[in-house]
Parts: sequence; C-alpha cells; structure tokens
Amino acid sequence: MIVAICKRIFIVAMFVILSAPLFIVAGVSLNAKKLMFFPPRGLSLKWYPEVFEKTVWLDALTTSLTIAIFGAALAVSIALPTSYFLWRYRVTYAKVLFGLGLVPFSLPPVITALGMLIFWSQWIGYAGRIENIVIAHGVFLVTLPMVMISLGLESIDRELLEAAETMGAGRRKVFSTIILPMVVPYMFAGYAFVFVVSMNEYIISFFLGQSATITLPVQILASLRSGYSPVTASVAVMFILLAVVVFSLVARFSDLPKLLGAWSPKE
Amino acid sequence: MTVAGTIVSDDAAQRRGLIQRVFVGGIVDPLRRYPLGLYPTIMLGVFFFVPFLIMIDISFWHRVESRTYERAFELTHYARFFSPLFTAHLWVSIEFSALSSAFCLVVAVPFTFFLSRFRRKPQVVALVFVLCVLSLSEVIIAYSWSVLLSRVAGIPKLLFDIGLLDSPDSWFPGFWAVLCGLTYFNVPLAILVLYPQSTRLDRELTEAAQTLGASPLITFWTVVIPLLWKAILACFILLFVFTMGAFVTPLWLGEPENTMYAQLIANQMLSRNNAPFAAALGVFLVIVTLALVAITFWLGKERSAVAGGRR
Amino acid sequence: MSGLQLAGVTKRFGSITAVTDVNLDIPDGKFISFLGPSGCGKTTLLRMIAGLESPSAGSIRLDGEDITPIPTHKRNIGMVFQSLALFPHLNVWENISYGMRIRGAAKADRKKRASELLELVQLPGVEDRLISHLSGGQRQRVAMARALALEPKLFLLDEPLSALDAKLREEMQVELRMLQERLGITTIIVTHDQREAMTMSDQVVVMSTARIQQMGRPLEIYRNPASAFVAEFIGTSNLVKVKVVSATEVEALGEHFTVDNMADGLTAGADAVLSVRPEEVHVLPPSHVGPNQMDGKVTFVRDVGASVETFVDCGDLTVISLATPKDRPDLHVGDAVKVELPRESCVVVKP
Repeated sequence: MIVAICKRIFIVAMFVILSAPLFIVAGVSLNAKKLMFFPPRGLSLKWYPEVFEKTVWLDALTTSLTIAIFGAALAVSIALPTSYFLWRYRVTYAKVLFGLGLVPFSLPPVITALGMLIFWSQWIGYAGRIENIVIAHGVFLVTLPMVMISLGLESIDRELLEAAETMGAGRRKVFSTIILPMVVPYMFAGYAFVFVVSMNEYIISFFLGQSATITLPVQILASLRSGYSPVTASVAVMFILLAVVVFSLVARFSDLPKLLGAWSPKE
Repeated sequence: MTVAGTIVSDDAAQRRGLIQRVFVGGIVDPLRRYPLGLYPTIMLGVFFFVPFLIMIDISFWHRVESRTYERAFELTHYARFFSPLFTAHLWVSIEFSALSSAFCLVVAVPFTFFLSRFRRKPQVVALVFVLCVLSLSEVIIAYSWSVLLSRVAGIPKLLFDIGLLDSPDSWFPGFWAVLCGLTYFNVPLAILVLYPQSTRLDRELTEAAQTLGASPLITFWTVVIPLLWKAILACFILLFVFTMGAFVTPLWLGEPENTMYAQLIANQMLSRNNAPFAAALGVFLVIVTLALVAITFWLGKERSAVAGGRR
Repeated sequence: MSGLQLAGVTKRFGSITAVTDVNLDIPDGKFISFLGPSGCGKTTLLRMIAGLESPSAGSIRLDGEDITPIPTHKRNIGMVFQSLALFPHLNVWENISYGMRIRGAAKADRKKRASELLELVQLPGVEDRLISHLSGGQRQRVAMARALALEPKLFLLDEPLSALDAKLREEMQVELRMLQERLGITTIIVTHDQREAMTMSDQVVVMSTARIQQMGRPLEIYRNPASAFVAEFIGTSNLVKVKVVSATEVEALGEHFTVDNMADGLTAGADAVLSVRPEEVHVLPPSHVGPNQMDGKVTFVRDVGASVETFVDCGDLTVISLATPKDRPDLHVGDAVKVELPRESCVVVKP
C-alpha cells in the first residue's frame, strides 16, 4: 500500500543521505591525480600509504592516537569511582559529584575549550602540550562512560550482592568478584566511545594545541584550507573505518541496544 | 551543600569562618568518610570546576590596549552584549540552532520510531551505522557537504546535468549550506537521544489504535507523537544547546555573515587575544545552556507513563 | 453466509510454523474460546483474524467477504489485548471514544457514547479519570468498553482475565458471558485456562502444537475427547495405554475391556489410549465380579471434604477415582480393591 511504500522509501532515503558523506569522502580519496574530484577521476589507492609516510600526517596521527588512548583511560578512571560512589552510597555528595560529571558534556565544547585554555595558559603557564589535551579530553568526556557504567551498575540485582555476603565475601571481594565483572563490558564500551569521540574531536584540540600540538582533525582542516590533496580524504576514510571497527566490536561483545538505553522486553 | 545566602555582617572573620565551615563540612568531611570520592573530586574539581571559575573571574578583567588584560572588576565586556553587532551575531546563532534542530527532528522522530521497531539484527546494524555517523568529525562532515553542494561535483551539478537547474552555481558557502550541515550533524545525535523512549513505546498501543480504525499515519500522529512528546521537546533543547556550540560547520560552509557564536569566542580569544570578552561570551552561553538544561530536567521530572496501561 | 470462516490458514515465522492448516467455521453471535497451552498458536490465530498478522497461506472470510488482504484498521473488529493497551496519554472517555474521534465525531457525542458504554460494562462515573488511577479490574472494563464502542462485528480478547486475581476472575467470566449474550456479538477469546473456556463458551476450539485438536461444545469435548491430548487437557482423566482388539474391545494389562466409544480409524492391533473420567470410575471390594475390572491396591486417599479422590495402584498404572462424600467408600491405604471402568464412560482415542 501507498503508506507502506512511502515508509520504505523514507527509511532507505535516510540511510542514503546519512551515508552520503562517507561515500563522497571515500570517492575523493581514490582520485589518481592530486585533485579533489568527485566522482573520482581515475582510481588509485596511492594516497593511503602517504598518511604513514609524510611526517605531518604521521605526527598528527600519533598525537591523536596518544590523546585518545590516554584520554579515554583517564575518562573511564574518573567515571568508574564516580558512578560506583553514587550507586553504593546514595549520599548528597555523591549526587553532586555525579552531577558535576554530567556538566562537561552538557555544555557546548567551545566553553570547555575556552575555560581550559585560560586555565592552562593564564594560570598555570603550561600550555600547548599534549598532556593538556589528554587531561582536557579525559575530563570533558567523563560523562559518556559515567552514564554507561551507571546503567551497568543499575542492572545489577542487589540480591546477588547480599547472597555473596551471606557466603562470606567481604566488601572488596564482592566488588572484585561480582560487581567489577558485571561492569567491565560497560567500561569497555565507555572506553571505546570516548576513544572514537576523542579522535574526532576538533575544537578543544584546536584551542589547547595552539600550533604546537596538532591532532588529526586539526590537521585535516588546516590542509583543506591550504591546499587540496586526496590524502586528506584518505585520512577521513581511515577515521570512518576505525569507527566502524570499534562500534562493531562493541556490538559484538555487548548488548548494544541495552547500552543505548533500550527497554528490555519483558519476555 | 548550600552556601547560606545571607551574610549579615561585614565581619571578615565571620565570613572566613563560614567559608571554612562550608569547605570542611561540605567537602572535606564527606571525603574523609568516603575516600572513594577523592580522586574524581580532585580531577573534576581541579581540571574542570576551577577552570570554570577562572573563566568567570577573567570575564570581569580589564582589557589593556589590544594586547593583554589585567585583573580588575568591570562589566564592560558584558555591556558589549547589547551592541547591535553582537545581537546580530547572537540572532544568527539562535536562528541556525532553532531551525536546524527543528528540521532535524522532523526527520529523526519518524526514523527513530521505525528503527526501534526493526527486528533485533537489523536494529543492531542500524545502531552501529548511526554511531559511526555520529562519531564523524565535524571537519569531515563539513568538508563532505562542501563537496555535495559544490559546483563541480555535487548536487547542483547533478541537477544541472539532468536539466532541473539553469546553472550549476555552487550552493556553498551560504545560509542553506550551513543549515544542511548543522541539520545533518544533529540527526545521529537526535536518533540516539530519542531511541530509549521510542523502544519503550508498547507495540500493543499502536496495534490497539489500528483495531480501532486508525490508519498507520493517524496512529503515528495521535498515539506515537503524543507519547514521545516530552522526549521530543527535551531533544530539541539538547540539539539547540549543542548547535549553539557549532564551530567548524559554519566556519567551512558559511560566509562571514553566517558567523556563529563559537566562532566569535574563538575569534576573540585566539586572534585578538581578548580573553576577558571571550570569557564573558562563554559565561553567557553557559547561563543560557544551564537554563535550558534545567527546563529539560523539569520536563523529565513529571511523571510520564509511556508503557500501555499495565496492571 | 454469515459468520467467520477460516480455510487452510497457516502461519510461518521463518522456520517456525505457528499455525498449521486451520479450518474453522464460527457461526454468528456465538462465544468461542481458543483453548490450549502456551505456544500452541492460539494467539497467532487470533491476531490473524484481527489482521495484525497475515497468513502465510489460506483465507479468512467474514460474512462472505474475503478479509485476508484487508488491513487491520479497515476491518470492523474490537480487540482487547492481554496488556489492555489503554492509551496512557488519554483519560477514560477519550480512550473509549478514540475510534469515534478519528472518524471525526463531535466531542459531545463521543462523551455521551463513552458514558453509555461505561454503563454497559458496569463502571459508571469514571469518564474523566486517568488510566493510571484505575484498578486492574476497572481498566479491564474500560478496555472492553473501548473495543465495543464502534459496534464491531467481531469481539476479540487475548487472555483478558489472566492478570486478575482468582475471585475477580470468576466474577468477570460471568459478566463477560452475560455481556456477550446481551449484545449478541460474535466473540472469540484466547485462554489457557480450561475452566474459563468451559464456563463461558458456546464452542471450544482446543489447540496444540499449531493445530486444532477438536472443536465442539464444552460438555461434548469433555465427554468425548477426540485425542489423548484433549482428554488430558480438559478436566482430569485417567489415561490407559491399550491395544485395540475390535471395534468394541480393547486390551490392557492382561485384561479385556468392552468400550462403547471408540474413535474412528482405529484398527485391530493398533495402539490407543483409553480415557475415563475419575468420577465415572468405581472402586469395589475385591470379591466383586463383573466386566471391565482391574485388581489393585489403594495407595492414597485425598479427602478434601467436598470430594474424595482415591488413588489405586493397578500394577503398571495408577487409576484415580473421584466420589462425592455420599458415596465415600470406606477405604484405607493398603486395601486390596477392584476398579471398574464402565463401558459407557470409556472413550478410546488415538494416542
């Protein structure tokens, strides 16, 4: 029927439009000549290895990876105690702390970028270094893993803990043998999300890196402004592939709908 | 932990005592009782809360020449908010944020609803897809849209080739380009925000509507949307706030007249080294954001029973 | 012709067949139950009648018209879901008159009709209440009122009473039946409770593993079950594995039994099941002589006041006898007895 067909068309159209940039970027990256044409004129994969050869790209890549790896670890390391604190002791202080953790991500990133820049360059006088960005990302992106870990903790049946206690497990043992294993998938998912977001993040890296520390997105925009080369596009494609791999892994090893807040069916 | 609102006497000693009590009672004591919260407090406190306070402080500083600034307490920067140039820029930002959020929701609401009804496997694949799109850097999205809308390679050229357009003028940079980019950027976010509530919509509710004679379209309008209304509103506010902070998209896809708020801040801070004004702009944005977030929370507090009348 | 006809209706979900080759003729104005254990396909069948699922094969006709391709919202049905599915964002009268609202009826008319229907389901005065402020039984009635608002041709209910407490359930069974008789509307309910089906229905359709096992009047099914499954599912029954000797005789445990009711298609030498209701079984002293008897020993006596159940171990199987207090046999555990299975009460069916 007409309505059913319209619905089909709408859904397909949405998927097509949503994936359009991916195809464009992929197409551009395959240009044989050093020009950004779409559809590509001549097909060549030669721009991909360039990312690993040219210093400017390799540096940016290493910088981004370092920030992402450590920033995500930092974020999760802050998120875990905060969520656990709230879940275990529902005192006001825990709630305030949790609220504080929610704030960074709720504000437009430009605010965090600005605040951090002023903090580091004015107050501390130690700016433009990779550590700045690691800390900034770690703190800014706390919200994501915090919410996920909380979801994970909420799903733990408290009766399990009581049962463990009746079997003689002390608080530490209960944490390490029951709570932690059940929360680990959420920690990993949180880490994965922060990793991907950090890799793609622009404005905080831009503000804090000044011109000294350059991340991949910053480099991409810079090279787009200065000169065109499909290398830029191939970098973008690798980003996309990274995201696909990471999220597919998360989906494979955990319940993705539940992670994103879906209602578990009663049966 | 509330700071008592009334400090009656000017006595410095009394004030110091009060701050001490707040500090010790509110922060130190709980930490001593629950050492678990020590590490997060330090990290979030030092690396987020403190910079925040500093930013507020700096917004009152005095600008010296066009090079530096020194400690002071003046409201000159806030006064600039009322200048016509600033209000014009603010209006542009508000316009973009509101329009892109609204357009985004028009497509995202039905799409998310359909998505939540997919069977398990396709649903997971679709969610992974949405997450990947969401994770795309603003830079990549802005660049892709510039290609899509360009004279040489994008939609205008396509339409020109087909014969629907007279001349393949580039559609970017410009107002519509920025709007497209912003809307596109918001869609995956909207989908993920609307997703939880969509999954809670009992399938039997829409089936019941059908047994009562409602076509799928009418069912969507009279049952689905009213039940998702709170989520839709909260999502709109979220998107609005989020878009107010857009940086790369208007930068790449827009002309100078399409400058948005975040660009203003970057401009003042990085190019003109006018930290106080940038800070004032930041504070203003924070206040607006917090106000809108508070509204969202208030909306969420009201009891909303989405599941069908379960006993 | 009027009424509901299902012909060859089958439903497959991937590799799973939920309903196989169902042929039903449901007359107008009757109260029908689809009865069976969970997973037997009864709910799927109901949903196909409602149009919420489309059959993989077969057709559904209502009053002579083929409604198989017609979507749910164009079929003239009223349905009560297991979860009731009352709209939480509308109050009671808005829920009830929803169907009228989308057809453009005026507000005053809708409110009036809602009040009428609330009177019908014996829940007056709650028009303006929110759904969340109603009790389970009240919501039940609102759901029924809503389904009946547009005077549908079919009234379908999916396990409508399963979440009510026992007492309310029994009351609602009677009320529902009386409501149906008053309106004369063709009603189909899905239930797993055989007592419910027996209480309310004109006809019972017993289903198991995606097929219809038997359809008939409650008492008929009880007395003459078509298969071992039906015999066991409806009420309690003694089931004895037997070998067919002739059209009136079977053999079990070395004894021969004469039977009056044998299912068609059972030839000599075939394996079959003999079903006899406990209340028909007689427990007699061991000195008694007569046909259709077995020796046994009493292993258990369950005396609940209103009835007495005696468990007799006859070698390979235990036979249960049910008696009223008047006929209470004076028996104790360990007594040797004879158990009589009267020929007119025995039904032999396919296993």
